Amino acid sequence: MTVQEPTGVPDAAVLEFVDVTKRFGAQSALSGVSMRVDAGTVHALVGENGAGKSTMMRIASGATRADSGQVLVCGQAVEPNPRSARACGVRIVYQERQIAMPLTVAENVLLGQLPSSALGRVSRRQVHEEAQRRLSLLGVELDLHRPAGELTVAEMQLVELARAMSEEARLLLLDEPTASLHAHEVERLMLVVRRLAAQGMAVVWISHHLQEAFELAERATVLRDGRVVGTVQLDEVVPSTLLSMMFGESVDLRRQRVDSSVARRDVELVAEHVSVERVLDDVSLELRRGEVLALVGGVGSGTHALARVLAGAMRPGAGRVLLGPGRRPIRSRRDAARRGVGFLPGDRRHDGLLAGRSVLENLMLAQVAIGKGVIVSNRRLRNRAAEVVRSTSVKMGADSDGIETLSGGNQQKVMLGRWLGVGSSVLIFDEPTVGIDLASRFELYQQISELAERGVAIAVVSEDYEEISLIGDRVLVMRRGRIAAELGADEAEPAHVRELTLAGA
Amino acid sequence: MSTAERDAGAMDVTSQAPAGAVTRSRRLPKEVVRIFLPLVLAIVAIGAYTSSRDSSFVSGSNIQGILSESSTLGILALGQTLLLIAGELDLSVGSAVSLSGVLAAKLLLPPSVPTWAIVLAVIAIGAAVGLFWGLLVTYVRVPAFILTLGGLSLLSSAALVIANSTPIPINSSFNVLAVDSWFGVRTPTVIFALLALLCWLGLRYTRYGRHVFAVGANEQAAYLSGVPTRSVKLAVFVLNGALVAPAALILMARLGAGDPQMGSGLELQAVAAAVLGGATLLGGKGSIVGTVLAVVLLGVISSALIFLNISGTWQGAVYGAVLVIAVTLSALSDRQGSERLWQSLRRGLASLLHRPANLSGAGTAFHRGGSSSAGDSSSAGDSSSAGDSSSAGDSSSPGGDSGRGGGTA
Ligand SMILES: Nc1ncnc2c1ncn2[C@@H]1O[C@H](COP(=O)(O)OP(=O)(O)O)[C@@H](O)[C@H]1O
Ligand SMILES: [Mg+2]
Repeated sequence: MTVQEPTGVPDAAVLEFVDVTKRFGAQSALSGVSMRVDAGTVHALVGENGAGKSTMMRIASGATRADSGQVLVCGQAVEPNPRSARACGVRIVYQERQIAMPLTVAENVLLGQLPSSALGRVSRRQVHEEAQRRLSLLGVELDLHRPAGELTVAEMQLVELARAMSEEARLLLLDEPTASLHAHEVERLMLVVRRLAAQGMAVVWISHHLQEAFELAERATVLRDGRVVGTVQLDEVVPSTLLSMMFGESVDLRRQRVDSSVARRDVELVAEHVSVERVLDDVSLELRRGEVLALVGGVGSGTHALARVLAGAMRPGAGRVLLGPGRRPIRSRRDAARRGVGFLPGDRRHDGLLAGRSVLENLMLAQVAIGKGVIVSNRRLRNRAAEVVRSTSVKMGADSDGIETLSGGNQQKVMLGRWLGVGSSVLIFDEPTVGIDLASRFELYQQISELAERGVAIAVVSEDYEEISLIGDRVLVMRRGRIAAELGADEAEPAHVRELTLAGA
Repeated sequence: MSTAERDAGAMDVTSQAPAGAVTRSRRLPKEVVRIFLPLVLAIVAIGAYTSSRDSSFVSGSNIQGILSESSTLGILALGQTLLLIAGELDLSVGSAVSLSGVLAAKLLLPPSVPTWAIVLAVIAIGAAVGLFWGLLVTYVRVPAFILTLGGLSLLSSAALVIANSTPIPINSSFNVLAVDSWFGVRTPTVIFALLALLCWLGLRYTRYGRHVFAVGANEQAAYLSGVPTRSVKLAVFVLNGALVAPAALILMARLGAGDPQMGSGLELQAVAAAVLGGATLLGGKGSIVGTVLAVVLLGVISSALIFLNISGTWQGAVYGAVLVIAVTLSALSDRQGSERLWQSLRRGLASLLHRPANLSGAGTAFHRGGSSSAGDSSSAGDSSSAGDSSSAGDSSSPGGDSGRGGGTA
């Protein structure tokens, strides 16, 4: 790793932090932080949750005042006031969406800056022209008349970006912009950001996906516990270097792969010529005990549908799914669950969690669903839950607390625990790490590896090429409902997988 | 210090559970403070006020009267509670009561059918109607609200047609439901109490009861976890339909006739009682104890109106006002800010009722090596849970095993 001294032309610095300190009460959020972002570059800011990234951004945008040190935008000290920072050309897109749902796209683009006549009348035509102009600065097309409530998260983000656009914009701060986006939406966002940087804008990009930093940014600053660990030139380091800097210890990402003996292990789940109209086209595969099979594909590839078919939650139009040594067909989702197929859906909130219910109920849902006997013993459920919590290291308060009190990472552990509690022998993960912080992500990878070692058959659907190359023993690349390629672990480099995935698109 | 600890500290959380540890809440369960207590207080307040004006309000016979007259509504409210927990509802039960009453009265006309056969027939009709709604809701995915609104019209017309728009007087076969009592408690009250007990036990202790809650809380999640969601919903509709039978027979016996309009409006009162008792139209919530208390409250109110010489025409207005106030208060209390207030209230009450539980047997921490132990930041509860998470092992409070958010039966 090289710690980069500010070497560029001095007047190219758009944002400079010099020895900035910030405390919240007794607690120090930033201590002596220095960073420099140059015009025309994308600068990645990485660090675990709570490292202080958002705090830095809020200080740069004038929303929060630093206790000491200097924050300069284009050589001028930032006043602790969002309006004057804005006047200096600072634009921020916060971690949380700032969209007025009932308003139209156009009105949202100009939220807070609506052009109005002397009498305060808002001219609809003017609003549309200005909104259109800003969207075209981004190079995106959106229907200006649509209510913003109908937009996808990715589109909302573009609206917020458009809001940040104007001639004077010189510095764009993006706080975890990709946290809730799908891979193809991330690609589009990165394209826009690249274009902005090429036009001379300075961009700060915060993300838990190191892969994005490597694809997009020239430099990265690593924060840990409110201190800068270092700033590195990204073409000179590898991801694990960054991770070691973030966590302060060396990190070995690659999972210990079970050697080729996997090929001799028992087949647990078989898909035979499975087709679903317009989604899957004659897919056959085998899932063995002790292996992690990664299914990768972009939009329309059918990976999500395949996950559901394998789990018994979607009935294929043709073909069948066979389970266990006896190779008996799966008849329904309930049948599959009873016979040991656990399914962790991608949209946890919508398809996975019992909203408003306790951690205990969420953890024990599968147990309650498929357990035997009419009477349910609370005591037994509790004890079982405690065992599962220990083995998945869920971080939680009382088991009667609402599931909403847990973070995304811990909610995912609860989802996993749900199936570990009933001893599932097949686990199907759909996008397991979307919306999960980095530390929990690696913890989950480790758990997946351990489960595979214990002989569980695991299938993971993911659009995250890095993730796939980290955990997959075998990778199936899907395009348009068909299996387009099969890769072994050693061939599954992220760039290669990406190339194959996008090849047909 | 791990990031998680720092983050949590910033959120003013004084307690920290290590990863992999479970603790038990020593607060009273939410629904006790939020729902049961206000209902009991309202009952006591109205009772106290009315009896201060006329002391015979709290006489044994008046209390008997209130309870037995509430039985019909109560039984319907039980069914509605089950449905609401499962995320459905049935607005046709009022008309179904009328129809069942009329049919039973018809069957009692000479040549009379034996009583037991009438009871079975009425149960079968109710269950069949419920099954029909259930099939349409689960397989055709018709929204229950609109569907059963249509059912309300259909069944009430059917009752009018069959009865020729006039009440059909009955003989004394069903007097047991009107005048008899068991160990000093009137039969309708006994039936209501038994059915309530069955529902309570079923929801709380059977696998099927848990399925009902799961389906209501998140049908997709329940389905993907292996809950047979369709049959759960179907069964709830059938149960609700079957519960119409005792409600209708009790009402018919009390009126002494099968009146084609005797059930009108009961469906709304039943939904109101279930909602007062803690159910929501969103599903996944509701409580038999709450519903029973709400039914008693409504019964006390209507009796108090009579004692206070307030015209019966005001009854609807009073019921409506109670419901509006209750749901408004509960919506307000669900707002973020009031969460702490509620929790400290629950804790305060719990400590009044119970000496602190022993602190032995703290949850076992699960220590993980390596980089991955630093974890999520938002896992903590709030400041008022301080005492809770540091203690594990068995707590002696009733919260000990019923503290599963608003969902106990
Ligand atoms: N408004 C605030 N009040 C108190 N503490 C805060 C506040 N904002 C952030 N913190 C604390 O400052 C630290 C850094 O937080 P943050 O900048 O949000 O981290 P990151 O964005 O890197 O996850 C955390 O420990 C957090 O708890
Ligand atoms: Mg942040």
